[in-house]
Amino acid sequence: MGKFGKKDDDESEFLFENLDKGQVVQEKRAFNESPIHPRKCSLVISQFLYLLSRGDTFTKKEATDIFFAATKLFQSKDIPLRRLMYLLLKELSSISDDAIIVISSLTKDMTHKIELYRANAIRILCKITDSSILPQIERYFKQSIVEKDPHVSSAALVSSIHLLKVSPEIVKRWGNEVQEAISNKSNMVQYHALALLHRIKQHDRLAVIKLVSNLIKNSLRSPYAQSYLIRCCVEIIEESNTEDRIFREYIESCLRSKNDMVAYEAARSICSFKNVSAKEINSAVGVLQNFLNSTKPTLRFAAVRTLNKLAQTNPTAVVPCNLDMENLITDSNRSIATLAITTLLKVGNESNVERLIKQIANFLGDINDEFKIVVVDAITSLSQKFPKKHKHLIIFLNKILRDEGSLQLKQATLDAILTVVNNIPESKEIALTELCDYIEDCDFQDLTVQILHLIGQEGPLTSSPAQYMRYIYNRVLLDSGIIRAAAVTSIAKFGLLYEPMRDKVIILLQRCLLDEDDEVRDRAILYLRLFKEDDIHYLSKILMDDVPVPTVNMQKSLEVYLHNGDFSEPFDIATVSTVVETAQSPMIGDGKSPFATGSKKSESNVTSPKASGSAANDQEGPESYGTKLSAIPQFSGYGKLLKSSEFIELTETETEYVVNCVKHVFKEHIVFQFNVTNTLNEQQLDNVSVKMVPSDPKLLKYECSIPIDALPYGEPQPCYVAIRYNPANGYPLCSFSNTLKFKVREIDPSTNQPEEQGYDDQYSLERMEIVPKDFLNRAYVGNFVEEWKAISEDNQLVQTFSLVGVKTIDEAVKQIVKTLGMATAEKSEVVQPKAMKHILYLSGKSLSNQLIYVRARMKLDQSQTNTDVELTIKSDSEELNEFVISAFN
Amino acid sequence: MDIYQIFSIIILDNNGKRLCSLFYEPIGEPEKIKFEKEVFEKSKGSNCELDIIQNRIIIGSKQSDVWVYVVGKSLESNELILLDVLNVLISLFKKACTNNETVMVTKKLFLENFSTIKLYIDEVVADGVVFETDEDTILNRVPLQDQALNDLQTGIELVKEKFSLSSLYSFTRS
Repeated sequence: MGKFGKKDDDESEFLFENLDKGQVVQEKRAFNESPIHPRKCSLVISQFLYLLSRGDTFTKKEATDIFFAATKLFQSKDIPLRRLMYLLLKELSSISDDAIIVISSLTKDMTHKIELYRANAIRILCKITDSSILPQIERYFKQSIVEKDPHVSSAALVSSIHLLKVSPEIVKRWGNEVQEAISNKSNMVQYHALALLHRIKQHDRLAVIKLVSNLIKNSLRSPYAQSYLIRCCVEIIEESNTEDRIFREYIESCLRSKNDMVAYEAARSICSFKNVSAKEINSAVGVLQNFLNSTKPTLRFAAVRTLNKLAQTNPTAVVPCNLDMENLITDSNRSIATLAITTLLKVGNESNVERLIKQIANFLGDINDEFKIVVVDAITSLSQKFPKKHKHLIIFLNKILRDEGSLQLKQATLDAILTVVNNIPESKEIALTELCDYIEDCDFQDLTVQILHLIGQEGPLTSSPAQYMRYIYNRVLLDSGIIRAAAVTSIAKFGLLYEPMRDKVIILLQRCLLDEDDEVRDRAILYLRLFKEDDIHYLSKILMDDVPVPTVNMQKSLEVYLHNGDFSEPFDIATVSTVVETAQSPMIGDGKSPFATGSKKSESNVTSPKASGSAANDQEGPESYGTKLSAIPQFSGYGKLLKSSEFIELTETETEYVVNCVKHVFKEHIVFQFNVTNTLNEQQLDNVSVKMVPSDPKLLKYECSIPIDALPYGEPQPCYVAIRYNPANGYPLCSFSNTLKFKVREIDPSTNQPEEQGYDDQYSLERMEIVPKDFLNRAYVGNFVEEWKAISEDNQLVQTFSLVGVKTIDEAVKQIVKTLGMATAEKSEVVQPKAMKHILYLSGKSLSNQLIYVRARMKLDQSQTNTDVELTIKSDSEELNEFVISAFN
Repeated sequence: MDIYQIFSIIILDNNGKRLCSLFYEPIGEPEKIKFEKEVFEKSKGSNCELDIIQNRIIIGSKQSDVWVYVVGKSLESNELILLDVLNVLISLFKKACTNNETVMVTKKLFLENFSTIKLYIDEVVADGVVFETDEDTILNRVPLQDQALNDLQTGIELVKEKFSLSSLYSFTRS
């Protein structure tokens, strides 16, 4: 039986869990009974406290009513009940409207003879007073601060800390009282007084220095106060460049404190200093080293976390702890182990890396997959630091690959190997040999396919390509259809890239002609034919070029193309969106993507798909726009849709009305599609349209507007505005101010139907621009560099400018790609980490299908805060060049 | 440097459901639930939790089917202060639930002594400031109704009500 009375056996075992708010609110009448039944009231208060903690929401009125009722309990002389009442009032004070009514009762309690009343009354008061009331009760606060009883004094001090935010001017007048409280015999009062005094004097540096210097001599007892004082010292040292040694000496003396909290605070403060002597840092690290061997996990965690941070700035200082940290690699607490290993790898140097890897290899069996992935990541970054050690790293990664493990771990490991291979060309051969061995006995189809792809890509370029052929052909003999298909492609690549083997490759391909799998046969036939015709150019295009768009989007576009049934024009890959929809599951595991390669790394790392910002519009792929728009009678005469922009948000995502826009460009028209979402469930919007005012009305002519008839809550719908422009006069680059116009009809809560009467309203949206990008499409070229050379320099335009505030090359690349909306070529969008300069290649075409080539050479300027760019544009029209460059004006 | 050391105190049951949570910064209910969930997911499968989530240090401990976490305000938090708070909380919870120190705090006991536990937490942390961590001091500051005396009083009250003694008094006096 619980303390709160009897309960039936068939009720939930946890009687509070089923509390109903409505019922409990009724129970508040218990507070009004006379005489007051302490026990009954206590139970009711407990129930309220539980509901509040559970997250039930109380309306302002409910909270105020309960608050009022509870004030009746001031009459009770039952101390436990009073204590509970104070807690309830405090929790409700932030929700209730009229908390101020209890001020007189509380003020009375501040002078009550029972200390518990005084302390608790103060703690509520600080929540409900404001600058107008505080002066009236100021003297009670001052009295309470200097009170001998620690409960009252602490309450007054902590409350004053909160009040500093409300009425700083008044609290600052209490300095003398607070100073007196520092000598209170209670540890906690000391701490609270120190913190308050420091805050009061915060803006007076000399006063702070004086305060801290005095307290250093006074030797505080409270570990909390000492830790706080250490932080004060750090602040003084960092901000005032003081020559005075006493602050540093104090911190150093705290290292020897018997209290772990103080010693730790001192140690980590020293580790954070910018200028620190070897002696200081050694004693600090010594303290942390002791913690590393503590039986308490929290101490080990604190120490290894601090060392991990120190390893970034001062790796040599951490080295003495290496042995202790190696022991932590097998710590039962995952966080400690992870920190230990990443610290070790940070301090690792060329000479001990091998030993470290061996060490880690020894405990691999003891740790779970999730943690192994952390290790794999750490190893990957190590490979960049010590490229010479690639052999050990590759062998280590291979060991993980071969051991038991989940697909996720294996994929991460394979990705890591691919990263190493990409960064360190010398590691290629050993990696390939190891991987060849691995696929002989690999349980994961997807991994085998990816590895075959890699071998096909890199194998022919090694010193002895022939050795790999056996492994690949084994797959053709032994594995399933998908793997066989990948193997056939891989074989063909050897024939393409390594001529001496071409004849043998043809023989092997011929053997695949009778394969039972259609895909395998088809591939073999295609490759054979091309080999026989000696069409190396086409063969290389088929075999070596990655599909430039995500396969999912490609599939969608092809389906739309087939569905439309209009085959007068060939399918154009440039119409396929390159935006990867993150909500899609990564390619691994669906078995349908034999071309999944290492370059898809970013996808496979997406473990938790991020919710897309414009979730409401996700289902609408760009491919379907053309069909949809031409189905609208007003737009049917506009001809073929040439280009649709991405979504442009015209509101914040959390406003009452969420609007985004897509610009559809036709030969002589532009249609603006506004997707509007009504996020207010208490109203319906009628006749919703967007009024657009152009900055330069001469460039265009208004055509028509199609409003949304009725827009209920939560269902996004589009409205349209169409304009006409004359392409002979150039594209209408201008901006628009936009206003959403609509009629509001409230929803009647009783019927859930909108009311008859409504009123007109409007809502301003963000401005929107028509930019050059809206008239440029992506284009894909096989060999950018060759085609670039082929165009004479007479047809080029060079311009240099600076991207102000762009601090990294990666950011600059993204910005340029975004501004031009063209396709990147030669994988030039990949930037080496910490690169200072870079060349980016882009290819695109105008709406009339003129090809455009762009080369952007960029480099960080000397201050490393801006990026200088030299942009070269080549196309067969000067005007077009000018138009492209105008995107950066 | 901050005197506000504690971001929140979170107590969950074995399924990650909230038994009691105090957040000392104004954040909405959905964010609270999200944070609790993240904390719980990370600590599954261990008995002692140490982690960094959303740039806050989290120290937790499992008591049979109850998880208690103390969440620091930032990465600057001193882990040992959080540990001090956690230790005193758990020790107080045990006192609140049972007289026997060796018995673990269970969900059932926790809910049965909910208000006492709330009072204890209130005495340990005040709006994110560590208020007091000395166990005896706190026990003195939270007076509890004496169970035996209480039962007796309630009994008397019940009897009074039943015989309407009070109304009888007023009747005779008038």
